[in-house]
Amino acid sequence: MFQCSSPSAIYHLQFTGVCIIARSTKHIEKALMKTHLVIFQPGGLEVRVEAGTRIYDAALKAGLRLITLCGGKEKCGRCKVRVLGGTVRPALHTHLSQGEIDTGYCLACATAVDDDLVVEIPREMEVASTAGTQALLSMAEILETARALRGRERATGREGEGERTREGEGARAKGRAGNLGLALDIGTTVVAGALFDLNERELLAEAAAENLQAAHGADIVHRINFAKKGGGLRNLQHLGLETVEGIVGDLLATAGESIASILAVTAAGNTTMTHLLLGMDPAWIQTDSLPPSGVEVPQPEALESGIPAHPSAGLWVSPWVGNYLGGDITAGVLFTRMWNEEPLTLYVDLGTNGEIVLGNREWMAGCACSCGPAFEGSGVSCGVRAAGGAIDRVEINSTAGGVLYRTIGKEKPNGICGSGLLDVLAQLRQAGLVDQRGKFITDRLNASGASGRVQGRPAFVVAPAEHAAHGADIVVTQRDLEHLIRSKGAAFAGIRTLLKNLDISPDQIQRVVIAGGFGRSLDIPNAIAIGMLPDLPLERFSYIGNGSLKGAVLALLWEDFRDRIADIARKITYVDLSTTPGYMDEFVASLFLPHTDLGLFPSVK
Amino acid sequence: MAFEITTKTWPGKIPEITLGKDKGGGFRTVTIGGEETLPFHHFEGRTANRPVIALEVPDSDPENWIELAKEPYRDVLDNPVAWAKRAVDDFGADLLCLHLRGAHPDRGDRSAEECAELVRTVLDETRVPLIIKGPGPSDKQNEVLRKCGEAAEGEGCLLASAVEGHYQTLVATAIAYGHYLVAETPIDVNLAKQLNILISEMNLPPQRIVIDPLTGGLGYGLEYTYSVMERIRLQGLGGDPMLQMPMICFVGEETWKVKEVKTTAEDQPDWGDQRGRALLWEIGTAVSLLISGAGILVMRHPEAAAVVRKAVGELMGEGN
Amino acid sequence: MALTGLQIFKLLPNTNCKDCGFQTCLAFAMKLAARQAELDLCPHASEEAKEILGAAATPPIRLVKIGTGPREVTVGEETVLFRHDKTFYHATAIALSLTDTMPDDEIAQRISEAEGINFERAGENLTVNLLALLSESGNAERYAETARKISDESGMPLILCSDDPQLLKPAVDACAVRRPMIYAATEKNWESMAELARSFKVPLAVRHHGSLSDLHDLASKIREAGVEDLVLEPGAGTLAMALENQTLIRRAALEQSDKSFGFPTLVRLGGGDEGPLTVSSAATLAICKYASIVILDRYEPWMFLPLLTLRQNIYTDPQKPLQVDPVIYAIGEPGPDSPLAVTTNFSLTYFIVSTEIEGSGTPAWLAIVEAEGLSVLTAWSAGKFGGELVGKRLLEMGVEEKVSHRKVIIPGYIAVIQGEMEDAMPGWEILVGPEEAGDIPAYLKEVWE
Repeated sequence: MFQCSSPSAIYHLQFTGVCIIARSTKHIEKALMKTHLVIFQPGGLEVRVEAGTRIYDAALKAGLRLITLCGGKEKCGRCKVRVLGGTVRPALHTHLSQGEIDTGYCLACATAVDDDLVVEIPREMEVASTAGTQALLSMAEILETARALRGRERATGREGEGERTREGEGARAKGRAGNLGLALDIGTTVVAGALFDLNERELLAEAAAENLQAAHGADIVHRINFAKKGGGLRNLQHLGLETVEGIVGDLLATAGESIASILAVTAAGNTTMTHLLLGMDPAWIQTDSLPPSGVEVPQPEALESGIPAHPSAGLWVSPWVGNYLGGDITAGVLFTRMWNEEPLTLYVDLGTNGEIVLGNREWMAGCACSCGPAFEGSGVSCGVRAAGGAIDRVEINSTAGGVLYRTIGKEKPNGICGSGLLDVLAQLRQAGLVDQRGKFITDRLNASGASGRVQGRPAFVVAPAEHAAHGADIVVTQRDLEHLIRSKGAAFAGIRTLLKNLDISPDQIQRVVIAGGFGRSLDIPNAIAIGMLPDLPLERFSYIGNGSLKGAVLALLWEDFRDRIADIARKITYVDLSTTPGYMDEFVASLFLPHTDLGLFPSVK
Repeated sequence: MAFEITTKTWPGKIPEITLGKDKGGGFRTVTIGGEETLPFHHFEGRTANRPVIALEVPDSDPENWIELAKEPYRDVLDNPVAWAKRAVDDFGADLLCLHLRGAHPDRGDRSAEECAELVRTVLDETRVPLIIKGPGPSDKQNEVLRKCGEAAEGEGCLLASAVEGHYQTLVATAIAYGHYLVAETPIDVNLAKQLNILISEMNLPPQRIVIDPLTGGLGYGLEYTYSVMERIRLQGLGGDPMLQMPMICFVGEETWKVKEVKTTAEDQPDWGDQRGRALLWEIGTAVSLLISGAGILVMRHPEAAAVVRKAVGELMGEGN
Repeated sequence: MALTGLQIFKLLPNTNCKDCGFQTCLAFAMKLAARQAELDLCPHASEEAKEILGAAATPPIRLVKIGTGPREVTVGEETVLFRHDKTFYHATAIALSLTDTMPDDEIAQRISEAEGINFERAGENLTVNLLALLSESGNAERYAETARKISDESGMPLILCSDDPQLLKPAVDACAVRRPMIYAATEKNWESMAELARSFKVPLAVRHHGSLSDLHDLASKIREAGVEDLVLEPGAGTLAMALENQTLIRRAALEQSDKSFGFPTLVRLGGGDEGPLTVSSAATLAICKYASIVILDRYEPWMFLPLLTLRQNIYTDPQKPLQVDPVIYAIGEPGPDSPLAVTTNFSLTYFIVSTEIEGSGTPAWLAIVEAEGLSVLTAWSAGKFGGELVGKRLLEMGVEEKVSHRKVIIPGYIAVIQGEMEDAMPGWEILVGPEEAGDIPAYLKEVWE
């Protein structure tokens, strides 16, 4: 097995072809079909594209949208990137100096891929993910994380443990048609899955779908209440499995494989989703913060759980900490590496249920808060999930009187997803169209040129009917803004309460890792401007996208990580906000833009 | 080890507010605020002004008051001007709180013009500063207070009360006619600060705002008001300009409506004599709020007010 | 100085063995920091940890107990200057004084009156706590006899009041097993008083109305003489002086860990010619500002309900959510035809909803259902505001008598309970109101008409 000690070494090896050879024969076949591997730095997202594809489009395929003014039409010069490895033939361009060309710069929209490339996207360049069409996972990122974690374990005396597991797996797989593994993230709203070749640790396919349980309630509480009714639990379990079946079907079709090849399954989800998937009674979740004795995470055969897989396949379920701090967060914590490192890290997974963990290798504490569905584009007038056609970035130009927006997949807008909604709130405040409580200032709104009315009440028009896919104004109403403020208020109050409980000041946090509903399209400065995230230097923030799924993948590919996640679940001290004095106080203080205590947001003007 | 007093100083200070207008001819003003330390901590900081007591003056016969409370005004119940004069001349009110209850649609729906006329007359006759309390949070309240504010232009009245969601008209009135504004929020330090920020954003200077933290009467949430006021004052002295305002407590209306005050000794023998109990209910509420930071106490019964006035004197180090 | 949870955590083994009964060492450490657990729950704590935590755990203000049995009085062990920072733990004990010159039957009657003061309020019984026996006869025998009798016949703990140790001694002897408090050691008598308190193992009040530094010296000397349970009485000649002295003593105890001031305090009121309302206003200040014991030399029956209610208010745990009583409130002046709406007993919810109804100009009934002070969605999420429960409570509250129609408006956020409520309230129509309180006026105008 090949071991690369540092990320730069990986790229180097891949470039000299050694790594490609070390990878599966499929890669070689693909290479013969005149495709090229492009790796984007920083982040290491990789994508294989046909020769002749523009770097701009390769980035798009990798899930990165380079923000330009011209939309990639060689006019604005904003998509300047630097090629670190491989050869390109940069076209001379008015926006490029000879010096830049000499040091490897080119315009992504004007440069074709004719070689395997490593492309650096300059820090100052704005990039957004193309959520919905984006890749959920990057194999390079997973390998890098695993190596970092396992390298550390080796250094701390756990030498060899993982390797043996790995060899065992390989031996078991001998003589079989396929040795595939399935990793699942069971979200309240969306379920995501990824299929791997376990022998090669290769990502074969990924897919996502809405959780069919949503028919019986958008959030956890509704589901639990439904489960309490006669037959409700079985009904929900069935719908959950049906969702998983659909995803597995997609995955197998993409990979051209069969159910019998799936020999291992890992799943991570919040405590309620885990209970419903396994058909366990979730009633305690409403009444107790910690599970009553006897309630433990079972590890059944995948078949008996109902998940489509080989009859002998085992199902590993990520363990929870408490009633609202679930296996999704413990899996995510594994991926962040915070549990294994010195720097004090804040991990924030914001969905309908917001989960927060603070700590480092020495200790960890976590809490959960109810954010409502607004972050996921639900429960607001024109909210949509982050998929094609969703407005995911908004800029309000108060002087020019215009609203600039961007949609996922360049489609006509059909609504606004969470990141777009946060942009709207931040920008409305910045443009002075709402007060600090998020209330429209009517005369300014009317003068903005983007005012509308919904049922006689003022609203802000993000996209007028004539531009929208469904021919109706895409608006944000007063009520939507109130929802958003409550959502961000709950998240920030959770963070503050956790910090206060541990007597830690925000500036002691060295890293903030964000996961969940926003994916990579969350605009951090805007999120700080509305007071959702602590006002820390931007370089301390990073994103990991779907942390739950990524943790489940690590547990699938390296079995010893399962013990690490179990350790993590045991180690996290659960702070139950519902019984923590001061949470309500923090919440009310957070229902202001950015916050009642402006001193907490020195950078927000 | 000998004991030595350690004193605390604070970075913040509560600005002074002078209500009323010194026009000569016996017109009095009232100055509140000016605290540089916690309430009555004379050993470590200055308390520039004594807290003041306003007596309630209803604009019409307060039929829902109990007899005990009406007693001092028995012969002037439907004569607010005479009532007001008595409150000042006989009962020593520092200022008055004219409650325009009769303007409420359910209680006579008196017109804004009539209210404004009454305000004018009371100001001229009593010559003390006036708190003008509207009929309630509604469109009518805005209309009434706007008219009254206009009629009392330049008199430095205190308009009560601006609440979240209904404050714009009152802020504009205070700015246009030179008045002060009570900002009322429901027993919450953050909400109090938020409303002050919103009002300040409309360009009414913070020095023109008086905080009403909402009074919970004794036995009915007093402790929440008490602690919220302590927190407001601590934050204000700690340097938060949006909480550096004097505070007003509407003690009378919150105490005289509770069952422990309304119930007679015949109905509850073990509660003891109703008169002493009722007066103490108001006194106990007032004194606890004094020591948690009240600058203006709006009281109902003159006898209770007299006891509280004596307490204020002692707390200010005037009596020995 | 108190340690934080993380500081304590670093002293624990960090094995997360759960032997203490908590999930993790950090969870246990946080409980220790909040003084909600004791270190001996951890069988693996190091000697170092025990030493450091033991020192940190010594309360800055000593806990003093007076009396024995069910009416034993406990004062002290306070940890904050402002109740919102945590809570005030041990409520001011009220002592009523009597004299040994009163006829026996008057003493008996006064005791029975004092014992009879008992108001039930918000689930608590409000009582006065102590009897203070003054020696006016100057006759040690009479005094001791009276003290013994009270001690035998009443469960209320005693404060034995005299500055003359010789006169006090037989009385202390007579009822020492009931642990009375001696009042008071002064500059002049402190040595004998200290000796008395130490030999009978009873608490001792220390009085000095001069400067705080004098009181401090006196308390130090008595402490050094081996008396552990002291109660301090500083000067309280004016309200300003009372406030100053009480504040500085508590501050010295909490912030400077001053051992000689690390005791409960006492204020004595009503000895002069002030009227009972003035005495009560001084008692109000004493209760709010740190007095652990208030001796009333003058009192009237009507003083107690207000003063004991005040004491209950000030000593309520401020971290409990602010709640309103679960009853049906009239907003404006509603009649039988007026709308009926329901919400939870979280006070902020009540204030916001009632303000909006009031502003709407439509008088209405607002029924408040007990939900542990949680807001609507939170209460429902926690299973405390379900349709069946709300329906049942509304009927119990007598909504059928309040309104002639059969319609009730529920908050829009919990529309989901509509069906269950219909089942629980046969014949009633359950209307789903707006989600936001701000929409209530419009809703009432449009829907209710």
